[in-house]
Amino acid sequence: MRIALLSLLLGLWAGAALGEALLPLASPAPSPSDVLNFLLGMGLPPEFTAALSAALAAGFQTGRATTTVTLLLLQDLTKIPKEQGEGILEVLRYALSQGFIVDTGLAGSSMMNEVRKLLALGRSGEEISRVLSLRLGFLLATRAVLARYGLVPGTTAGPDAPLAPTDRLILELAWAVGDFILWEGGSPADPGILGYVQGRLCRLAALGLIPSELSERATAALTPEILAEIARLAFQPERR
Amino acid sequence: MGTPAAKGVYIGGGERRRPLPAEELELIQRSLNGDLEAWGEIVGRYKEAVFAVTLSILRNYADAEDATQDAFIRAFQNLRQYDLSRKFSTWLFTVAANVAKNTLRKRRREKEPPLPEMDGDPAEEVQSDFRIEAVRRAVAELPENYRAPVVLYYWHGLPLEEIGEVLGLPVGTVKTRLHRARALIRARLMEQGVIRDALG
Amino acid sequence: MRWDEVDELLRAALAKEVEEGTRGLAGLEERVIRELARRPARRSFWEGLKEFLRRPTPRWALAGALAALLLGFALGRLTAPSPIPQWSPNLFVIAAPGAKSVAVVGDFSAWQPIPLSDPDGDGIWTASIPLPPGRYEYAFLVDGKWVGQDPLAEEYLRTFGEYVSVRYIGGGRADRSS
Repeated sequence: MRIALLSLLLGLWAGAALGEALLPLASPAPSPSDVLNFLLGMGLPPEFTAALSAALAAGFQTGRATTTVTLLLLQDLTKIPKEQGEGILEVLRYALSQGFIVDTGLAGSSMMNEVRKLLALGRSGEEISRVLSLRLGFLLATRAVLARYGLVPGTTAGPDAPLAPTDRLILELAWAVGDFILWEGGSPADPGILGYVQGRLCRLAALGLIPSELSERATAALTPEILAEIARLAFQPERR
Repeated sequence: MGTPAAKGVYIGGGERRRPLPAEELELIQRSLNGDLEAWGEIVGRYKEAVFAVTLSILRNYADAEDATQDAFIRAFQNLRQYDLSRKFSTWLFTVAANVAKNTLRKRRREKEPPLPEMDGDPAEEVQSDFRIEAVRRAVAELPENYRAPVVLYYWHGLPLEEIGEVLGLPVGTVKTRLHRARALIRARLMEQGVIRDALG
Repeated sequence: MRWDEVDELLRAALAKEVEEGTRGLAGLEERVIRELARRPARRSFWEGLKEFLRRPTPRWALAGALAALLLGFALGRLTAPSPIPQWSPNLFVIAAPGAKSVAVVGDFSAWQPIPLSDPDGDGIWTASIPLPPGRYEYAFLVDGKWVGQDPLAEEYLRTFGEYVSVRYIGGGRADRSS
């Protein structure tokens, strides 16, 4: 009886594994050189291409970017005016150079998936560049404020440093604050921001995407004032 | 209303050793992975049967509805405790019976149990089979320990062992309670003149 | 009256009693789903797994299951080396009667359309997508039109006036409002 049940169960698992073969993305992930070669063929200014290549290569190495999503993004950007594509890539390059995660692959929020989403929504390159710059602002502000409160290291690790759990915390916290301000219509002074952000962190910790201990420390330390400070700093780069 | 079997949720004794249908297993697996839609399907399949369990213990539609909802929520949250080699319905009914018993305990602390709501519209009652109404009253008047075994036996069609499992009772006790419940119902019906003679 | 006649009356009486109460069960599925989506997780996946392993399951059955799982995993990897890790399928479903094509786009596909199918033509389009744990934003495309509000989503975001649905998949569930 148990054997029969277990066999059934396994059938399901195997089915899930095989079912994957039916997904459009179920081809092998491209290699870093596939992506970098594609980038080379995009006809961007050579110095910019070199800088971006180096940042992306480091990102693939450390887990701050994935080849699958990056290649899809680069392919997308060939379909919009070159200057706009370059503007988007410049934000991504800068974020990578600052040691931020720009792409979490196919699970969760990230700059690259945000671009793909906005393109799917038919937004212009200009609008996407603007949103991306704001997202970068939230990342920089989040790191600066969390460091001030001793929740993350104060120094910038840089693109080549191995990923630390606090990198994901910064990303998710910045994303939650950004979602609240950009898409939920909230203002930095809205006290609801605290519940929104804490709830997000708590759920991500429950999924194992952020270590529980880190999420608990952050949620315990956060106040509406700290989050308001992040939101304000995101729009005032000169004060970061 | 059809029997549970007619709705494809057969839970009778004859099927006891049948393995969990693959489709249901898949729903449970998906639920285990947090798929609430799959759990919604389980709720749809079993809500009536779970409601019958909670109603048998609580004797009140509103409380039984609440307990049914709570039972499905608790079952989902504790789904990892469900042993796949056991019959799913038995486990689910056990959860439901525990939720209902807790509600009963709480209710006792707070106030007297409300009267059964089943009397309804008197005109409707006149039109319906008065013998059935008399049996319903007789069941409602049973001591609460006896009602749940009666419902699980006569409505769900569960074998004695499973009733014991659901209610946490030895099979012997289930048997005794069923026997006494039947005798009480029969005596009540005779008293009311619904039935006249002894065993035919 | 014979005992079996009393039994028959009992069955009929109980059926009637339950039937009369089932009116209040309409929409119970949705209520349970909504309530669960709102509640905190009771245990994490790993806690659940540890508890399962602690239970007295015959070792050989467990070993067999593990071996077969590994085999299934190996088979999956051989046949479809994929950027999506092996995970249990999640159902995406939308009612779109009369639609010619329906797809879902989301973080899990890097916003590339994954087609849904409606083999029996009843207007209910579905796709089962294996996903690792994560927070996923997604939307449906019905004949190319953006449909961002999935009733089964746990949250919605509004991006440039269009809704995007959000699901948290895998692991436990934590309270959003805590």
